[in-house]
Amino acid sequence: MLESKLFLDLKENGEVRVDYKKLRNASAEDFARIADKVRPLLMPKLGKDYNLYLKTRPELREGEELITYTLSACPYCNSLLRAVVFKRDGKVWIRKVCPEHGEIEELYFGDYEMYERFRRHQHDGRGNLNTHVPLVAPCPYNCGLCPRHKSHPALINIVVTNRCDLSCFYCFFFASRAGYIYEPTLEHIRYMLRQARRLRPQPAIALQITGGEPTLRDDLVDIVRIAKEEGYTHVQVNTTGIKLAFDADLARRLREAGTNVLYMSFDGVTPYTNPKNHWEVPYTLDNLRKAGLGVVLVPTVIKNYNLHEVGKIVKFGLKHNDIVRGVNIQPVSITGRMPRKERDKERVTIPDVIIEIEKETEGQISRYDWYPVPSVVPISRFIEAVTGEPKIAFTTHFACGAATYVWQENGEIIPITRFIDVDGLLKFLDEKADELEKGKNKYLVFLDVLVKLRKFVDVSKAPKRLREGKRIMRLLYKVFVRHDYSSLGEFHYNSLFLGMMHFQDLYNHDVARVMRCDIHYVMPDGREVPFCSFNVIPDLYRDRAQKAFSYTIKEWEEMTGQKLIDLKYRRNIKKLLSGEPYRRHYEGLFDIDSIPYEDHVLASKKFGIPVIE
Amino acid sequence: MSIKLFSFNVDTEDPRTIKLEASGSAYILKNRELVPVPTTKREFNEEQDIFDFDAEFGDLFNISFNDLIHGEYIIEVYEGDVQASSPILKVYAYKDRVKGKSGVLFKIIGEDGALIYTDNMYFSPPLQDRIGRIARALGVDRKHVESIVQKYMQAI
Repeated sequence: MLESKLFLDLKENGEVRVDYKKLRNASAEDFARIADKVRPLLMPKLGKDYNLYLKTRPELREGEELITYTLSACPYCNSLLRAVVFKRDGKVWIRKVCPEHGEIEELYFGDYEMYERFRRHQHDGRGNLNTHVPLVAPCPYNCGLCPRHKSHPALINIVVTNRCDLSCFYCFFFASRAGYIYEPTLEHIRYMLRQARRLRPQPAIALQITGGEPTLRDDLVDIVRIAKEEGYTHVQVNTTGIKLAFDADLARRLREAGTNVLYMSFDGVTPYTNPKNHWEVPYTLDNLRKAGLGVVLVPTVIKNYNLHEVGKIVKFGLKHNDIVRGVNIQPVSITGRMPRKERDKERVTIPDVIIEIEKETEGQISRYDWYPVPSVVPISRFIEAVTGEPKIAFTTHFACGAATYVWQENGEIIPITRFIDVDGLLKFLDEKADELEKGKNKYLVFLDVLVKLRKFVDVSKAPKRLREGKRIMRLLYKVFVRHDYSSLGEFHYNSLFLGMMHFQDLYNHDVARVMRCDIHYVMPDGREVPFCSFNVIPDLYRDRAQKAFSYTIKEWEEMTGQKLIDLKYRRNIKKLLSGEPYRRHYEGLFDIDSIPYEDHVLASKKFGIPVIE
Repeated sequence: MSIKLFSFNVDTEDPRTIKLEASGSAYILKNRELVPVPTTKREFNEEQDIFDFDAEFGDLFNISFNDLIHGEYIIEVYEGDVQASSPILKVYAYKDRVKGKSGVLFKIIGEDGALIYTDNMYFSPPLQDRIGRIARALGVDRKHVESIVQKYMQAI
């Protein structure tokens, strides 16, 4: 048997390593057998990796109002603790007490009124019929997925390399800092993608290829093709976009292989707020235009760093919405250990960002235009009840994400709520789904939908394209009455999706959110782990599993004839600033000429990207 | 082999409304008959019982200890011992006060303690189909399983 001699168990520290260089020609089936053997060895262990301290209920103090209790992990020792979620000063907080490390309190949600509004939209999933691991530990030390998980995957992430051409100061993940190279073979990737498609009744259909920096792999296009072969209908690539700024052909090949969209970091509109890829983005967008490959901008928002620019980021998206499909904002998830005072400088939550966007757009995008992710469940419930087939349902915790759609017309921003009574429509569809599930005649329900759908739409306030010939009504009838989803592209045309996804950290960690997570990572041992276990408890999930299936840096360099250090990106700011695309993309968003060249150079260098001339 | 059963009653609003109660009994297969396993009640101990509670209800109701502590709840533990090496049938009667729905769910535990069969509140086929499946798996008369179910249906 191929796999029998491949284990290298370093007994002194209990670490499990597979001799990965011997697996370069292994098949997906070989990887399945190896993963089955390695998986139990990598699972977190009670007493070694975490403890249980569940008897202590954190107390409430004067001026605090109980919302709920939950379970949460200690940021210092991973122990599972009871936590209290409470209201104070119009905000929502979480507090827990670790017998070993004392009290930990953190902002959970920056606006209580929004918390309550969002909570009313919570819908839970029904779990999965089959899972990847048996139930052998408490959540979140049983990932995954385990039988208690409430959601099916909406998006699967696969890490295809931990190599990166940047060395961002806050990242501990990339190869040269981790000390090993994780880069699964194509057959190993195929095995992982199959694992993630195993779930029933609703297998994953959307995939994000991530890293490290995935564009560093020469076979990235092959990975996209494999994903399509394995049944993923939506494939997106998570990237800084830097390589694509200089390689228009890669953009074209990714598109032709079936990539649906790029997920691209974009933390601000100026070099000060976005030293990661500020100078390259204009060139990337132009290359994506040539390839016809859409992009979602993904800003990570930190309070004292770039929160003040979220409105401009949205405006940048609207300015370029011929190619920018959306902006998906991620309030910072604090990695590593950080004192409370420092955390307070960085911490923002979904309501804080939403309220800032309301302020920066002068109320054009108001806080009431946003809906939590699970609010759309009535749509999938209704369609599922009609068709009798399981549909993807976004059943995350309401505090995990929010979204809206906006259009721009004559300089005015038009959110979807201006012409659709979203609350009313969702409630109506939920009621109709109830009726269908209880056995009411399908045709009577359709008739009711046909008659009443128009009362939720004010066509006169819709963007011109949707207003003309009452196109919006035709689209809604096609979707809800005829179940023809091909026309949804028309709805999205010229719209900008605005999303918000707040990944947790160990300070604001809530097990209730973990067990509802629908953004998962498939790991090299075949487990499918919720985002906020994979990245929030990396020592027990991400790092442990990836290290087990990794090369040493020396092995990789010998194998490929490359030096890891030679792959680091060096930026030619002068050249990038002088090109026409730079000014064209940023014109009107900040005073381009007011920033001296030296400031550009300093911003790049401070971030960790060397500058050449 | 030791048997652990639970009963619980939960009423919570955050993050979503759950109003659910369930209680269980165990039966051991003896001479093609299902014989009730006597149990004694004790208090729930969070650190000792959390895993068993989640393992019992994670697949049956897709519910866990963490769901319960979000609101008002009561959990009771019932423990028993069986000498014979035979499969165990666990029967849980439940009432969902949000959906206005009640029913019975089954689990079969093998002689070695491994889970052989479990129902699921959301995905399980109709009760009559499940009764047939349980009877076939245990090699008992279908009517015997039906009479056990009847008892629970009347109680809820």
